[in-house]
Amino acid sequence: MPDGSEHMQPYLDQASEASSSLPGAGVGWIDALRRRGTDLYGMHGLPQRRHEYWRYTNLNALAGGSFRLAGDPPAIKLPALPHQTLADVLSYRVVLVNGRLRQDLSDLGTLPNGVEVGSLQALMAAAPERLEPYLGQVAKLDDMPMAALNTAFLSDGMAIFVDADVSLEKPVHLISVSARDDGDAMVQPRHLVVMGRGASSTLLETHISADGGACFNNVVSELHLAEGAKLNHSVFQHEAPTSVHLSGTAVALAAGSTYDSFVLQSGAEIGRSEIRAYLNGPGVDCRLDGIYLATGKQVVDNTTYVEHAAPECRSRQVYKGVLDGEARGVFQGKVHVVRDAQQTDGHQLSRALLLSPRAEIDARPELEIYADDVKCSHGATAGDLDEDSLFYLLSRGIHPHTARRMLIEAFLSEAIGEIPVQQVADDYLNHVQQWLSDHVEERSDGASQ
Amino acid sequence: MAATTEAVDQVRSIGEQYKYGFVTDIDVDLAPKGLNEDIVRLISKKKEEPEWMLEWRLKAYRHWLTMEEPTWQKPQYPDIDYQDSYYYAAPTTTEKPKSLDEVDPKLLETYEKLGIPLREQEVLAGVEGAPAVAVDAVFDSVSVATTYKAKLEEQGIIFCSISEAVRDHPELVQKYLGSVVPYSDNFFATLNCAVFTDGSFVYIPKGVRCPMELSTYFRINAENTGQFERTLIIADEGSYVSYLEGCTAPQRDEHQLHAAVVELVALDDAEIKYSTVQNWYPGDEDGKGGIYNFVTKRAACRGHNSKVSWTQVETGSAITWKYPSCILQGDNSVGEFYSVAITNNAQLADTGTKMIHIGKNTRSRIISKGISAGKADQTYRGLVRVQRGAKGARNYTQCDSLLIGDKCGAHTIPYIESQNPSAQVEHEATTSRIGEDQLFYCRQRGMDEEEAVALIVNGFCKEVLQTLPMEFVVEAQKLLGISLEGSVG
Amino acid sequence: MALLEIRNLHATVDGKQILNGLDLKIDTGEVHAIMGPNGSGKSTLSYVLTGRDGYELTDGDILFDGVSLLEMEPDERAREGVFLAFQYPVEIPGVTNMTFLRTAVNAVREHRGEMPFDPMDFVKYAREKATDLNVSDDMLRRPVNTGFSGGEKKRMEILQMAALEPRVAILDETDSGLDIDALKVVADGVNAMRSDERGMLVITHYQRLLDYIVPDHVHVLANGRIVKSGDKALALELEKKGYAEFLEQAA
Repeated sequence: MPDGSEHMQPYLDQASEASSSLPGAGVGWIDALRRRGTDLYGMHGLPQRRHEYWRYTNLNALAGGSFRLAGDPPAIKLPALPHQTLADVLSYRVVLVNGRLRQDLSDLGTLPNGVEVGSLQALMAAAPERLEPYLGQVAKLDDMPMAALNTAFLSDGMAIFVDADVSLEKPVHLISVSARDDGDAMVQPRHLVVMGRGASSTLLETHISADGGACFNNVVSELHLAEGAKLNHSVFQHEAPTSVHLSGTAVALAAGSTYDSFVLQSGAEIGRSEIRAYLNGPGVDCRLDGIYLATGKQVVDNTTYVEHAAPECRSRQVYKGVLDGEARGVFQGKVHVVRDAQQTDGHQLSRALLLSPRAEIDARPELEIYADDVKCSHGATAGDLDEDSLFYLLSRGIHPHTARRMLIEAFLSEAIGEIPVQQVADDYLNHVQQWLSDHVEERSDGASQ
Repeated sequence: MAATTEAVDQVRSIGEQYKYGFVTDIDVDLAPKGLNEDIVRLISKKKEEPEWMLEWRLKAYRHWLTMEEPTWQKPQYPDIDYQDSYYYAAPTTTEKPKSLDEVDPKLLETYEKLGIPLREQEVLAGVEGAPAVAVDAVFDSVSVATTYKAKLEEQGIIFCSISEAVRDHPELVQKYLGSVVPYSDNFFATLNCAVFTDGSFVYIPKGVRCPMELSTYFRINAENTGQFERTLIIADEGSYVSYLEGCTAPQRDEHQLHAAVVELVALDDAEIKYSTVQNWYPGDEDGKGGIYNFVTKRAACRGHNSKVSWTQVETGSAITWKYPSCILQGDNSVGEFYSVAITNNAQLADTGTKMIHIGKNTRSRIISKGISAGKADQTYRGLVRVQRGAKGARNYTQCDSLLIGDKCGAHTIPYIESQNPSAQVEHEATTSRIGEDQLFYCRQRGMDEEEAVALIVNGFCKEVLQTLPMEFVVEAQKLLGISLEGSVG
Repeated sequence: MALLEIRNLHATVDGKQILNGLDLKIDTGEVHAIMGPNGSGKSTLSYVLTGRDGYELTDGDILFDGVSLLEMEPDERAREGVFLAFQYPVEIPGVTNMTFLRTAVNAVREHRGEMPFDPMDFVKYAREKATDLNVSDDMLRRPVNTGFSGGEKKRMEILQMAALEPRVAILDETDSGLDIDALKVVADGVNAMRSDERGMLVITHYQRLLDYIVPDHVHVLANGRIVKSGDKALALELEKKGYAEFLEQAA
């Protein structure tokens, strides 16, 4: 261990302390899983720059260890959602406050046969054997230090089971609220989605904060899609600007399944979405898209890993972002095609617009390919708006600030247009428009001069 | 499918086709095996170096002792025992020969076999012929001959071995050596600073356009030696030079280390074109033997409107690990990197470039073509960094990988860091294989399969090959064919 | 006073001299054609008139209704009524034609002191203009020029011209990439816009377009200036003889 390693493993003690009182304690495999999380986090510590997947996102904000594991959730009301139409979307609503299910705020209505939505804690207590085949099976903890930390605290979150051939008409909407406890709260929610053969559903997630206090929200989701299953997954991260929001999603995709993910990040001081998709059977279709909006000193990180472990799969990634103020955007994406995963079609694109002279983008798109009959490509751009487009708009008499605004919005809306659920797309677009009005409207005239 | 499979089945030892694998039987002056301060002093003494040079070497050596060998790169290799190698090997003629007539005939024969012209061509006025190329021939640790020196001197151009430059032009060497790649830069560069033995030195004075291609030909001959050459090229204001390096080594079962450092400095309005045709012995099909080619190459575009263009054709070495880079300091300076890398059999390569944009309106262009066959693995790794003040900077990067057979791999890792909103950075990469339709089309037009593949591969690399000096394009094309021989064409 | 008067225009691109003292006067109601070989400066002229960055005017002046355009930004010139139909219309993914058109038309209307259209009224207005040019509702809903064929792009350019009602319209190689049917549709659109209130400058390499848009005056551009002017017969003469003779003259 290099010197100072203790300092770089904050929260380890808290995990050890908590382990005996967490739900499911005493169940052999759960204890073992938590221990594995503790051990691996103990080995890694907080990820450092030399960890390739954390090269550009610095977690020094967490190094002091000042965040305390949140206790029972405060009795708050559901805060206003940043998107009204989405709130109105008919959905099965699950509200978590500090990672704990709040039945009183949730509205699950009548779930169809073959669908189960509930808290992980309840399942761990009542029927841990149902979780055993899934929990901790997709997230590769030795590669994901923060997921290891989450696993060390494994206690609650949301669990969804959709049986084979069941199609959930309404989306499940997970609203996750971070609320300050007495001090700065740490939340370690764990979500599990298990989709049976041919099942299909839509999962919406909205992450918000109840008040302005600092929260450290370290989310891990594991998604299992059996053969032919289909999941639309839209995540909206809009936590308070003092929060640290780290999300790790691991997805196991069996033959013929479809996973369609969209992540909109505009909140938190450090916001990170890491998605690892394992394309384990032939004919998988995997889309990972996202947009980000950042200003002030925000750091917004999108990290993806797509493993083509089987032939004839297709993956598409498009991430776009707008950076203002002193914000920094990070995109790291890897497409890994293993030997014999022939007929792979993998594509990846990262585009960033810098709106301010203090903003920064760091991108590392990556291809690692061991099969020869593949079509793989990636692209990355960074910079200002396209001059040709701008001139074209100006030549039609459109004012410079309007022209810039139109182009920025178009740049983002193109990505949003890929979201399959129309209300979600509309909502995200509204949010983008509002954000642009709040943050760049005033100055965009100046920027064009 | 069938066509490619067949082609892959034909992959046979590239070692058998390595045409430069012979050994020259010549008496060698070897320093004792191993590395310590005494060896560093001995090298410095053999080179009759001034005190400051020795001090610099020792400083580097002491720093090197504190450094850890890097492990982040893709190609991993067995531990190198730095004490089990010779750091100085020179043909026994102690003095550098004054003229070619004094050069050991065995050496002359060696270069003849390698196809390197050491005799200055008689260039008659009005007679058309191939343009002359000035050559500095480095054999193991020393420069054995430098041609056209006198003719170049007429224009004030200095072209000599770096050892001579240390003695004859200390003011230039002291000013620029280590100014681009500092002695503490990285493990292998620091080692080079301590034990470098020879290499070339070029200085082009203000406003001079160098009238001929300059080139250095590196040959490793002795057994168990490492080659640590050092090249320094300075293009003063408004000057231009095109420089080419080539390299080969005998076929041996042991790995040999080649850890060179190349520094280029371009002042205002100067341009340096640096081309490499790297054909070190690659090892046999199972990865036995071959050169570890761990090289630090970096250019400082210090002046306004300066330009440095790196072109590399990498076909040899067991492991190639290098990133010729440009630090674009001067406003409007330009950096270019054109690369073709072919790996076959068990070869590994991790190569690419760094373009650091510091000055305003700096531009860079990266075109990388990687071809993997056999069991070879190849990585493109590149960094484009636009610093805060690099207003209006532009970068365009294109990396294409071609896979031949299903046992090889390609890895593309670009790092893009931009801190200026007026900068435009654009990266594109593709990985594919030779299309069946392309192959069929060629064959339907009467080409056999090998011809067809060679044609397609040459087409794939064309953008890069055409940046080579004319005289070397054909050679490079041939080399591509040879490297893939058996596998494709 | 001429509608558009170009005086002794000199311009450089990337430090290279492209226009070398070009003079031209266009009055309302007139259609002028400029013909010239590749590299004669045709596109440069259109970009200099519309104020594109990177096209540096080194001498001369451009007067529009007697007022110099030089100090005006590209969008100001456009709102004053200078329209350029691009040779290569730009694709703007994510912005629909309808939004694009409405934003432009309203910017121009406000500049003229007219009420901007509300979105519903504008749909009516745009559809009216679109029908004549055979532009479908579907095309209006699609992003600007994205995925359009060459002919569709040129039709959209003319639609924009019709919607913006400029005082002077510059058509830069509007015939390039068009088959004969598309050419007719575009030419009809342009002819419908001919009026006593408006001047036009048709820039083209080939005479073919001028069969459909018959000019009042024809000028030959070579090496950055006008080397010969005449009526439409000059275009036919050029078609027969080629540009070689004029290039010699200009040199």
